[in-house]
Amino acid sequence: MADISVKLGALELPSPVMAASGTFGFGLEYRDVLDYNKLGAIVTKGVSLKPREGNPMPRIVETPCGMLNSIGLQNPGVESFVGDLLPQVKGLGVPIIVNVFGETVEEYVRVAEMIQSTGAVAGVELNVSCPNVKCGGIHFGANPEMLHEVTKAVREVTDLHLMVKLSPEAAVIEAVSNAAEQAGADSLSAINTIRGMSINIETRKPRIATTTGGLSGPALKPLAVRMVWEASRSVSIPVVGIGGISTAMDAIEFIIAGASAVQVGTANYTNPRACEEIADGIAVYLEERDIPKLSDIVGSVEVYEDYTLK
Amino acid sequence: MGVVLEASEIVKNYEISNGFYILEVFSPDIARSSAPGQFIMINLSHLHNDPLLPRAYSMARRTTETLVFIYRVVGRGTGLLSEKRPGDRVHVWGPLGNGFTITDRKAVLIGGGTGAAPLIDLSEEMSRRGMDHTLVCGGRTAGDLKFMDEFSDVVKYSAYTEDGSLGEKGFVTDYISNGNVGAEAAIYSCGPMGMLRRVSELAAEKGAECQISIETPMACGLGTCLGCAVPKRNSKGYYKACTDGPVFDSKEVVI
Ligand SMILES: Cc1cc2nc3c(=O)[nH]c(=O)nc-3n(C[C@H](O)[C@H](O)[C@H](O)COP(=O)(O)OP(=O)(O)OC[C@H]3O[C@@H](n4cnc5c(N)ncnc54)[C@H](O)[C@@H]3O)c2cc1C
Ligand SMILES: Cc1cc2nc3c(=O)[nH]c(=O)nc-3n(C[C@H](O)[C@H](O)[C@H](O)COP(=O)(O)O)c2cc1C
Ligand code: FES
Repeated sequence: MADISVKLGALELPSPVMAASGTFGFGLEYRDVLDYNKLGAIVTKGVSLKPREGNPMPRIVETPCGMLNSIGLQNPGVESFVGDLLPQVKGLGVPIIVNVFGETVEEYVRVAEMIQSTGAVAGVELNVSCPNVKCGGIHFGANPEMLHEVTKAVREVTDLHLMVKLSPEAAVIEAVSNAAEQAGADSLSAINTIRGMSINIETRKPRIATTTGGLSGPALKPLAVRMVWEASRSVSIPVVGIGGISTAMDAIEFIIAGASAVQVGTANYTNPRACEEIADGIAVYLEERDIPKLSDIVGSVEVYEDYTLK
Repeated sequence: MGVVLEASEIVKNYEISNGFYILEVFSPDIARSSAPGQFIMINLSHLHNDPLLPRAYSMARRTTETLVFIYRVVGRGTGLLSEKRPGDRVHVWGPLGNGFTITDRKAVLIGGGTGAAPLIDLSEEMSRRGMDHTLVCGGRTAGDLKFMDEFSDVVKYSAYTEDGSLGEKGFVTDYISNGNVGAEAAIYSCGPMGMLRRVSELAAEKGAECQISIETPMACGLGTCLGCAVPKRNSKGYYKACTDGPVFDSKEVVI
């Protein structure tokens, strides 16, 4: 078997395939149908300081090769997560990365502190890129100064692996990537969803209650590959690729673009065994091509020599 | 047994009338471990990405080896489904959801359109248990209820059609308002949202118990996407239709 284990800074993962935030619950839901040994990590649904009810219905709608969602970060809050869910989740034997969300820097810090104090998780992923909430989220991720501030503040209270999840809505991806790296992030993950809109032409109502929702799924993939490529060229910390990955070939494409590992989101809905099949498929790809380890192909894209835009 | 995920073979898939289809898939494990009112997810485009999301279908019958469904072609998903042939495989996972809770009360089963499906299964289960019960199904016209003939060996029902072409003329909810249902009854219902709203109102008026099976958008069926939220009536927040439902006490939800 080819070696598909990966290292993200000091964090060693048995597989490059993680389940993406918001698409895998808190990790317990797929136990009957998925071999968890194939998972690199589980990234939890976003956790906030206080419980959040989430947005009104409709919250999801199918679009060509994708979907829009506006869940509004419904979650039971960090206390309930730490007290009720984490004891079950840590028994799964898979590294847990907690997706952390706040409306203010202070909230991000307090959630991160509580996660740090459990001693039971491998890392935190800063959700500075949720498009479906009024305050926080994308407001941090789209602005390099604010991203630097929140990342630095969280860095000061945790020595867990600190992953910063980028938004495709940041104007200059290099700028936010650099800001996160300089503030002490251990890795970047890219990308979160981008805001989209779908309208029922009979009723003229948006198909999502909050009018716009985050686009995910295969429709997002080329945008995500580009952003991973750009981000990985501008920082020296590892980048985790996310966006429309549903097969091993999709994952390999991200890795060649510059991702050291990947997260699988929407594909968990359409194929509950997606993560497992993708991990197996990556191993087969490497074996068939006599590539000893995955890291050999990270960022190996061979761009055309005169690729710069004229 | 938990949730089973498999590529199941289609045994039968044919149109009955007016775009209503019967689908039968081979899935002994799900058939054996499921109960009336539960559902499965069917992914019609495994790895093809369009249409992306799986679709939810409630079992109308569970034989020892197969699951039988009733669906109506209304969009792209069901259009694709209708083109599948016996021998084709579809990715399915289930059984999902809670299903109906059978109580001792006088049972009245009220179905609208393809919403009859889980009630056929429930009626069969009640007969198996020797429970007296009434099944009432409604449609626009006789052709919309033709699928019921496929189950006539095990379930008896009364029909309501809007044009009077079969059974009583009117809406299926007329069965409740016409004095057939009182406080001693337990109503079990599935159908379009408007119908379920009316059933819930009438049940409250009559003081009858009422369980309704709700269709919401769903992406996963497993409790992870949070796309299937149903507002709670008595407190803040939402239930998940896929894991807390799809069957709810009508007094506990806002629909
Ligand atoms: C628990 C449950 C049980 C169901 N049981 C049945 C059944 O027994 N027979 C049956 O015909 N249908 C049933 N449905 C609806 C079914 O899942 C499909 O949504 C419906 O057949 C739409 O068909 P489509 O894919 O052709 O529509 P499309 O137009 O292709 O659908 C577009 C999107 O809208 C969603 N959507 C459309 N209509 C509905 C609906 N009524 N409820 C929820 N989402 C919808 C689809 O799932 C899809 O994501 C059930 C739904 C749920 C949640
Ligand atoms: C329904 C839904 C809920 C999500 N919730 C979160 C969340 O809580 N936190 C977060 O950082 N990302 C969330 N995401 C974004 C995903 O983690 C991922 O970045 C995005 O969907 C793109 O990947 P995909 O195309 O593989 O789904 C959510 C996505 C979906 C579809
Ligand atoms: S359908 Fe995904 S949570 Fe219910």
